[in-house]
Amino acid sequence: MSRSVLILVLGLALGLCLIGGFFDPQGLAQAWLAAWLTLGFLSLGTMALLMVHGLTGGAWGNESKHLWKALAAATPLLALALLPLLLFLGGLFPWMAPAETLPEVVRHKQFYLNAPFFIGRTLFYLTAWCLLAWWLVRPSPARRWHAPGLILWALTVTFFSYDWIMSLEPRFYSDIFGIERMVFGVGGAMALGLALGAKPLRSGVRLDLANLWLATLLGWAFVNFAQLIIIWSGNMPDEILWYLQRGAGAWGWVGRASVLLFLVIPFAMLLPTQAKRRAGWLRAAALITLTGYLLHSQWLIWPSLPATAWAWLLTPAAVVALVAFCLLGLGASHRQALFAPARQASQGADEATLSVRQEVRHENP
Amino acid sequence: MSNPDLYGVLGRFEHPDALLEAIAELRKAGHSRLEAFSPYPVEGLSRALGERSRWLTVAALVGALLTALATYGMIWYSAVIDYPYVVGGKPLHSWPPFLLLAFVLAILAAVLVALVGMLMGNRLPRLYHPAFNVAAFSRASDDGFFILIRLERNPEDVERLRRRLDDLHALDIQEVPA
Repeated sequence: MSRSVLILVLGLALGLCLIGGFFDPQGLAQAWLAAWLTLGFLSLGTMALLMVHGLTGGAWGNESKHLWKALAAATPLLALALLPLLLFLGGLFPWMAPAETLPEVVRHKQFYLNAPFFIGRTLFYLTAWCLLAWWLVRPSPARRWHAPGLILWALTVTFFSYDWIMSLEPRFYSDIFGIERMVFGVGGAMALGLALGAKPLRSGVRLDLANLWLATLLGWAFVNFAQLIIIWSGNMPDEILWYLQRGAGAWGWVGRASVLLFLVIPFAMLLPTQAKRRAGWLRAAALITLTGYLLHSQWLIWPSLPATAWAWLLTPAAVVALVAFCLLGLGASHRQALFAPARQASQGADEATLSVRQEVRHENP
Repeated sequence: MSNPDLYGVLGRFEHPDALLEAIAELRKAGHSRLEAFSPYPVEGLSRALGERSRWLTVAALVGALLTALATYGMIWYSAVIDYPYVVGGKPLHSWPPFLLLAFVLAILAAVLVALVGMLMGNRLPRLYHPAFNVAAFSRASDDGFFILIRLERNPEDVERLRRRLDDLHALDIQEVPA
């Protein structure tokens, strides 16, 4: 994809968004939020992968690093793209309404959910992620920062999810929500990486990545089911309403389809060991998971929003605009890592052997 | 004329790669009744011996699925048909906790099937093996990598087998009484 095509696509998509926004600014804000939350977690997930690999090492990461780095490099661009939404908080979050109109549960949460604190927190998360991303895409990030980086990442992603997703419905609360978002993001990010760049990897590396990915998907199943069963058993009105909204009508079917696509089908596809070595098979499983990822992200966000027809129409345009913006901002070398990964992978393998040699030398001087 | 009640011929190698190479050579020459012994798991050894254990994973999967179905059916029968009792205002057919139990027992079944199947497939537990009669064989649990060629019907093969192992640079070549 050349630069001029990307500029054209970005211009068209942004133009559509602005036309829609002229008629329905709140709809545009909702669409932009849904698009951002769908794409943002993919980029955030890759940062966790890079830091886990920084802690553990291993061929799986040495040879696929270029993919994760290219995706993580989009984080500062996404952070920039979230900023305009800070002007539209009133149209997105019910807790921005005057206090006397809010239910009592939400009024008790207002020491946390208020505009100045919310904006300050968001700026902190975005700054932390930009710093993490810039540090991680460097050729060889310093080793000792991986563990603190992961802790910072986990805390910021958790509270970001509380703030930007859970507080769309301020009565709802779930402890496990942040972990669910983290694992979901990492699972989706691995699917994106495997869909784009499974081919040039060695078959042993593909097997390792597929196993890690399978474990991530199972982790998501565990966390997500834990949330469901806790809220279902407790059956408290503030919490179960969240599920009732998402189980009713068409959203119920979207939710079922998304779990089938994100978890069940890829899980069955990733059981046979020999199949995990095949690039085409992995790519197919990854694409199915990504479809489920897209559906599940919408299932999570939209039932909370009083959506208009404009918001629905504008979401695809917002997704295209964000993708084009990120690809443009990433620059040619990262774009090549994502879309023509063959050369990069062989470079990665060379670098990997080099770094292994350095490690061996470091340990046996 | 060799001893008719002979189990096989045993040879030792110093290095796992030599063992793998010798197995590949012997199999190429048409010997299929091979056994190998090593002090630690050697990567690729079972593949070199032509052992394929696909049925084990399939058996574990089938065991897990059947157990899941049976568990779910049992809970459903007891909670919905046999003793319908409303707890906490929940429906009689409350699938979330049912699913949890079905999953847990399915994992247990998969592990048990895999364990028992592995033991059966390896003919374990087996307390006696003819190779134990050879004193040098104790190095199999120390630093020796052994090949044992079990004899076919034909007893006069033994000399040829010994030469064959010698060609492959095996050490301590010995006959193993049955």
